[in-house]
Amino acid sequence: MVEARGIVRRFGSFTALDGVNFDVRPGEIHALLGENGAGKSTLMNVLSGLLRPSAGELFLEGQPVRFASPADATARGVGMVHQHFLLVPSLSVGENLLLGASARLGGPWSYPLRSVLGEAKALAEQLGWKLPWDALAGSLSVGVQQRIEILKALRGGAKLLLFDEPTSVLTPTETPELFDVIRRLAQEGRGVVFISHKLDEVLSLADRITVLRRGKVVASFARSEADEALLATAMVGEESEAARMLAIPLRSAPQPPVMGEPEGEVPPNLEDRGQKYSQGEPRLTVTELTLNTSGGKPALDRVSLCVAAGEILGIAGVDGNGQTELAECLTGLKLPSSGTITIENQKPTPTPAGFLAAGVTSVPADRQRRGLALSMTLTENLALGTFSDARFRKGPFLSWSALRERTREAIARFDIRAEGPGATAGSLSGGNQQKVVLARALADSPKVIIAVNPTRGLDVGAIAFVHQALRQAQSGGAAILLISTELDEVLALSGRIGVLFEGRLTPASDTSRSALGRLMGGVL
Amino acid sequence: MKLWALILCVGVGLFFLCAVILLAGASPLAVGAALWSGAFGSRYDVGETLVQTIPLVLTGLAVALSFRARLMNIGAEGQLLLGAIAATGVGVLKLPAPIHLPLCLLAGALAGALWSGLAGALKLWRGVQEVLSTLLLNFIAVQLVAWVVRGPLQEAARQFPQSDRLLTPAKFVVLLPGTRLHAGVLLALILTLIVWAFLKYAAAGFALRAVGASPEAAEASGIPLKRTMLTTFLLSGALAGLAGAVQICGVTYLLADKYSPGYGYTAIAVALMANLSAPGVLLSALLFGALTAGGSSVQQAGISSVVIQVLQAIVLFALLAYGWLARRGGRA
Amino acid sequence: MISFLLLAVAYAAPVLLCALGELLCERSGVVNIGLEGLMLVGALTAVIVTVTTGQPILGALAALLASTALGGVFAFFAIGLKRDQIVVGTTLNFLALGITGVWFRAWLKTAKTSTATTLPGWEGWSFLTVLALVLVPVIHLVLSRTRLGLALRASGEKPEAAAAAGYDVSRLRAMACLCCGALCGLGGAALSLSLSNAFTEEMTGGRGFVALAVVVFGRWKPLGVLGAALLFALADAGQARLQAMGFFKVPYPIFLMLPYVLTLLALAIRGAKVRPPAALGEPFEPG
Repeated sequence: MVEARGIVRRFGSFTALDGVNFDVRPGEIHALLGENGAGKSTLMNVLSGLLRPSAGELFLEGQPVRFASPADATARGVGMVHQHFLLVPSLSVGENLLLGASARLGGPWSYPLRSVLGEAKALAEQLGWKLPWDALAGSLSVGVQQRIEILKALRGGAKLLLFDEPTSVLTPTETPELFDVIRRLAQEGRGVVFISHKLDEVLSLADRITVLRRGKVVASFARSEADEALLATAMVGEESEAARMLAIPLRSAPQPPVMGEPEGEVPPNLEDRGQKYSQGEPRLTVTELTLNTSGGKPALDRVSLCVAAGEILGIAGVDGNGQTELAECLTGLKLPSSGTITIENQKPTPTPAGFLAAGVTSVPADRQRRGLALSMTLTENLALGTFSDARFRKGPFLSWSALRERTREAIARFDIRAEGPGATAGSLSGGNQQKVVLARALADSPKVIIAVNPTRGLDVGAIAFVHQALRQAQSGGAAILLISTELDEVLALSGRIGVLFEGRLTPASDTSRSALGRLMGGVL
Repeated sequence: MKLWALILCVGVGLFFLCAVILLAGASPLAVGAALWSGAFGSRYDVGETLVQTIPLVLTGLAVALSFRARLMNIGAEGQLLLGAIAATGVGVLKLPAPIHLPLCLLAGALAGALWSGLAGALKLWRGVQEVLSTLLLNFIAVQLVAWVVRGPLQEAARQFPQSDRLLTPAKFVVLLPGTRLHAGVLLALILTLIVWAFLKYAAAGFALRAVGASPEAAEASGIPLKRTMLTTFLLSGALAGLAGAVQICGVTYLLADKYSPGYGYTAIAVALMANLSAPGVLLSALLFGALTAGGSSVQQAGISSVVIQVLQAIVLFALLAYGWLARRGGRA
Repeated sequence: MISFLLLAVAYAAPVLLCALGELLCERSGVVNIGLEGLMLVGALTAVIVTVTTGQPILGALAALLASTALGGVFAFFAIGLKRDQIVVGTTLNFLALGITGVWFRAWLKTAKTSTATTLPGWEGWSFLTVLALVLVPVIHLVLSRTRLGLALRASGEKPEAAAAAGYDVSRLRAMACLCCGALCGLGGAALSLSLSNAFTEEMTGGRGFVALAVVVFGRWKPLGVLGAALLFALADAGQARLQAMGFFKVPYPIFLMLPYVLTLLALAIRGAKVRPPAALGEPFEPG
């Protein structure tokens, strides 16, 4: 149905795709597996017409094609469901569908809202969906928004559907529903490309699996030939630390946790997880923390937790269940509606400066916005954390020589690849940027560290480095609250685990993947 | 690469400038010559250039400071006018001689800070974009001047829409005999130095830059956003207000209708050309000061002196295009 | 009273035309603070062409073309080169102020008269006044009932979505800027050929900035913009009337200050409730 031959795509001197061959047959679900940065999204963008290949050819039903634009690709029957939804929040569902509707329904001065809605309603009915057509897209839940994206992709009878990491935003209960829909769409004769970096999902859904690494196809399997170990190795390469890290928790849970009941698995308790943590004095204590929102439902609902010195408490959960808000409350960026936060039995002043003074540092989720000022130098970025620190002050002035010295130390200690203290943060790679954030958070042996998705978007080497740094801080006596949507990360690092779902924190007594997966989906 | 981009931008800019002058029926060479002699032709002209440079330095610093914090304060004009009103008000009073001038300057700075602080307060507590509020405050300030010179501050003779002249102790001394160059130039130099050091070394200056570079990161690191922004508004307004006071105490000695020829707007060009750095403001203010001083003599070359505005606009457009070319060149 | 209201509408027309142009711009995600300059160029072009040809209609047409071209300059720098929109707009005002000054004084030397034939009309009304009023529902319908309008709104709210749907966001925005230029040109023509019969330097007197405020005050909706423009014109016409009748002892400058104070107060009161298009002022970088 669609075939890509020898696709090369360069960005400047960087080759994102290097001679990739890829094809999809009608009725087939073809999974594209790879790490962050392996080239999955680039290939997807080439197939959907967003990017033009630097070399190589695309064939659609045997004919060579060149997509001029995503709209051109759409017109030829290629639909894409984006990972970050391309819905306009302030427009209604109907208007969003009309925005992407094909030009054959009328020119720029027409307004074929009715026929677009009619077509969409018919499709939705086939899929068994009921959608609020007049509601504003921004007011809907993530799952519903994704359905609208799927309807957009299907408009005008798409024959090839591309799904870019569609499960990354869904709860474990929504995921199987999506998979049912994808299977149905394939059964009706469409070709489906499914991008993921989650082995279990790929194995449960795909007919064929192609693995990308550093812009090259390294392996292609029929589902019957593949297993997790094989895929994990193909994905990250032989003998790498990360392959073991990824594969080990998966082997302990051979069934994908969200897809069914695990087979006779013994729920491992804390000792079984081989995690050591000191029973130190409680550092961070949160009692009945509630954060109301203007929307009505509280973002955080009576969250209580306690982290001891030398302990990592892991908080798992799917994005958007209160993680950001919890981190913001615990760093003074947001004022809770009720409840108390104490650091070593003292209430910090409820401002970011107050929490810093109390010894709470953070690794924010969005390192390019909250974490760093990209246009500033490394010295200045590290100085951000010590802004009100008397050691680096001379009266109303900052002592820049001391700050530069400190930056040099951080560069050495954290192996930050940069030209020097004067390089701008924006000139570093993602992994090195995160090292700067870590260096700032870990510099003065903080009492409490709030880390949110500390490895999101990093490559394997950087992930290992971040994990090692957090473990070191832990053994140095810091109390660490690790909030992460990567279950593997939470499992690998934490002593105890809790799950955030719709603003409520549930301690996990059973820390098997399947039990955690159920908690993440709101099944208590 | 960057040099070629610069040459290209200057070339295209010159081309357009010449085209405008030719279309207006004048000779570009004659205009250029008139401009030069008007700015540097004699001792008096050099003095005039420096006199025009002083308010541009002060307002340029004001704009640079707020743009550094990514606050689009385009209200230097209004803040300057408020400073001028306040300085006049104090200047015509009978006060002890040694503190009369400092009091005038202080009043000007305070009034400017107040005017800009108003925009700051509206932004921080009411969410009003500072671009709109500072612009509106400029127009209000123009009418305020028009009113006070016909009302509370009008000269005792009640003849013209202007104030009484300042008492002598409130005036700056003339530095260079035979010119209008006054001691305010020293104030401008000192303030440039202070602003430069403030941005580079002071903790508060660092906070200001951090808020401009990334408000989110600054907030997360415990830098008080609102306080830093408000401080920036106040400092920026104080500098612009001071510019107004310096004009009153050093050049005109009285307040009149339509007081500023747009120093506060030219300041935006000055600050941008200086790449928002304090020493740079000194240089670009000198350039624009020379243009303004020279502009008054281009009429001899048969063209209106507002051609200087065209020149300023072309300089800015060339700068904008150069910024784009340089960035592209850097990426490729 | 009726004639007073009619006069107010006539006063409102130039600001309304500009504000409608700015509305299109801002809904597409571009803020153009160069309205004053666009209007000024329109006003001068209209007078010069009218005096030269004796045809005010040609004058209005020329004003439209000149300001559209200047709107193109804005689009080139703000959208093509992705420079800061506030800075480009400010520069545009400089340019227009300078060019109109130079051109006007050069023209005065050669022109026999500087008084132009006004557009056919009555009490300050002309076809431009009617056009301004007609454009309100037209722009409302275009924005809410055409795919083009939908695409324009989408590029102001979430340009990535509009681009993914196959629209060229930069082109949409550039088109909006050209329309804005055209409308400001007509606004300038209404000022110099309908409300008066000659050009004076800086004759726009801040109307371009009032138009900016009107867009915000009218909450980025055509009908709201109409209401806001009328409100300002009423205040403007009212002060002239009251002044003439000697009702008030309030000094003239205080009256002139009123529209700006009102706008500021309105912004302060509405404050947080006013929600501009989400992507306003942000350049769009495709892919």
